[in-house]
Amino acid sequence: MMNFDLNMGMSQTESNNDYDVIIVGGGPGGASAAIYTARADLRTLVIDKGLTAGALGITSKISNYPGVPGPVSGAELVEIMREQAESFGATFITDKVVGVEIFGDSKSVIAGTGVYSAKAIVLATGSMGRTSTVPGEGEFLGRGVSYCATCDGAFFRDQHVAVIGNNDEALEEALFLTKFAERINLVVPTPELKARQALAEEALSHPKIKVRLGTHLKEITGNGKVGGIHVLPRGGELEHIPVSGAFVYLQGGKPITDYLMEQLETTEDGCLIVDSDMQTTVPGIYAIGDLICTHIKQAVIAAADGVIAAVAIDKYINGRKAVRNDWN
Amino acid sequence: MAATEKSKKAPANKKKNRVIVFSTPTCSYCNMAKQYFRRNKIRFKDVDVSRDPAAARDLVRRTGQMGVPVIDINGKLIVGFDKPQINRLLDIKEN
Repeated sequence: MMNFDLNMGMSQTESNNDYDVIIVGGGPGGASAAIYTARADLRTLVIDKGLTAGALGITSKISNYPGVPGPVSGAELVEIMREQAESFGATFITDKVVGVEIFGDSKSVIAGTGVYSAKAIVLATGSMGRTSTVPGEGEFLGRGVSYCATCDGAFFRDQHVAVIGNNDEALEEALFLTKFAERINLVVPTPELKARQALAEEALSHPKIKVRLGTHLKEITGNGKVGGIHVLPRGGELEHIPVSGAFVYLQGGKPITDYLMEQLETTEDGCLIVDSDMQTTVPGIYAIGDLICTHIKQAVIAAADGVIAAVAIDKYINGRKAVRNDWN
Repeated sequence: MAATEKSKKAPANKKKNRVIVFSTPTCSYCNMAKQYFRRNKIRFKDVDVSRDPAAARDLVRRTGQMGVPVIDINGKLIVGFDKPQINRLLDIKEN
């Protein structure tokens, strides 16, 4: 029996999803922006894919971040920043953003857990986007190739699948798939996992997950739909793994802007263009850190960008003419 | 007047559309599509394929797609949140 729901108005959950500022990306830039916007009493939400989804999160030893002698891991440094932002009232959630509506006074951010709205958005998604795809990936997209296991996992009940990647996001998706798939081949391009220890241990010990370290994805094959993948283990020979689904979470060195769907101007290299307040060409939309690629790729630079954006946002939202200094 | 009353009840420009969104709760593009329909005051039925394996199998058979969202507008299947096609089929004019 089919019931037509009255999906007309805003649901209760959605009306609670209103913020002053939403920050997409919780690396050094996003977390620093959150410290300042939360301290300025702006209701702040940070949406992040996972602690090790970004460039800082996967860095093992940092000794040059001012004030933190270290050596600390990038993930530890990001955690310290996040805790500091949370102590001022910022909310952090783990989710993947796939779309933003940037025009008008109220802007929306679309993620897996729901749709969130805000007066201003900070884009801080970094530059670990992929630069190329493997053969077969485009051909079988939606026919076994997916970038979102939490979306499409249900189609792979009792089947064999592959998850390709090495970070928190890949492991979380692999663990999600254990609810549906019979066997998950986790193809890890690096000799070790670059994820939170607890998460890595959970994945490594899961009876449904077979981990293949130091193995590169070469091709996705099939006939009309995915039938398998060709992988090359380090120092080994090309191997075929029969699977009906391939979930790809590989990274590269390109600014991550796919979720913007070309609504914002970029340079030829795909970097966002901003003014001295870190504001893009659309009022209320800011971009910081490695997304704007105008400087050295360092955590402290991204953090500083975040602060510039946060101070400008306080001014933008509260209609102040001048920037308010906060010396305390 | 009878004629006026009739036109009030069923305005000629208000076609009854049958919209079904095949989705999963954690799929962002599904949320985006549903949000878009709500904003444009279009009623839809939401089918969660993660809780309805038969619907999932049926969808694969009909579209060859192993992914969501798939949107059924008056029997025509649209794969993904394809806004231009949705706008065309539902006569939505974006401002």
